[in-house]
Amino acid sequence: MDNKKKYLLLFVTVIAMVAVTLGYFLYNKPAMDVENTMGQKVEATALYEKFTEDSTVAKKKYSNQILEVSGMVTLVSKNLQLQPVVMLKTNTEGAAVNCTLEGPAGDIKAGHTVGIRGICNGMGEGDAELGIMGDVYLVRCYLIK
Amino acid sequence: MVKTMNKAIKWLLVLLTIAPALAGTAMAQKYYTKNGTISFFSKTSIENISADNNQVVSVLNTQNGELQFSLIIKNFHFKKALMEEHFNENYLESDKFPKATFKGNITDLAKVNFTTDGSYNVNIGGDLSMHGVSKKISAVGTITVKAGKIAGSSRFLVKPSEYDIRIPKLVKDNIAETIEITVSCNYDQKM
Repeated sequence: MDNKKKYLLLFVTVIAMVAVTLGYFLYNKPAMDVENTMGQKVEATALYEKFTEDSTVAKKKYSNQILEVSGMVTLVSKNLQLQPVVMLKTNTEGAAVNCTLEGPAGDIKAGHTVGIRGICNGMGEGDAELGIMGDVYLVRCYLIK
Repeated sequence: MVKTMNKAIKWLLVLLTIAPALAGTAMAQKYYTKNGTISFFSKTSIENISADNNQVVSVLNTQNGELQFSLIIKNFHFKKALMEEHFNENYLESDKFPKATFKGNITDLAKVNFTTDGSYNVNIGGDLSMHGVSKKISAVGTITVKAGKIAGSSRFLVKPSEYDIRIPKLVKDNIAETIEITVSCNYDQKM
């Protein structure tokens, strides 16, 4: 094998190894580290109002972003996967900032004021006829200590 | 004449007294959740893919069997970040089509006794809308009544191709042609 062919084979092998390594890391790319990433600070009441006033503007500013939302807890429950779900008070009756926690809820109860860090995924649908208001959803949440 | 008027006033008073109670009964026939779960599962010989959405809004009217679901696509959570990225950006195009809904009915509601504890198998039919496409679907479900609480569950199959969801050739073998959807909701009474 002449030198030209050797270099070509080496080049192809290196490129293939880089591609496989890159593919492996991309495939196993970790999810966003919500717990240890600072986010935009906003109060639950203000966040909900932004979505009801102009959802397009609110989506641009808050959706897919890590937020640090502070507010008063109205309800703590568990979903079917047994993750804690914390509802934060808004100025609209029956509506909440609906936070699903990945971390523990500790001993927080209705009436406590807390800070929650999570990814905002926008506002859900309600049922106007029934008087069920849509919530603003935060997922992958952690309590801010 | 006076007698007739007295009788009419009496009936009116009775009606006014019981009207709020009747309205209360009608309202109590509606149940909802804002944190129901919808999961999907794709099984192929190469890999299994699953994702959960625990922020599903659902409303059940126990009087006429109306059943609705609504969810934000971006609330589906995958084990692998890359899968979640591809699901949102390439397949479901969640910025363009942010929500999926189901509007339908329990078609054999008479089978369910909402005042007696038990597990009731029911048939559900309606329109499933996602990715800008709406299709009629039917599924078998279970309504469980326990100590005044109502829960609902169902499992059915969906073909992504029917909803104009295009899977690139490169990963076609990694994603099943038919996806299994599982629905679970614990309902609260709407006061």
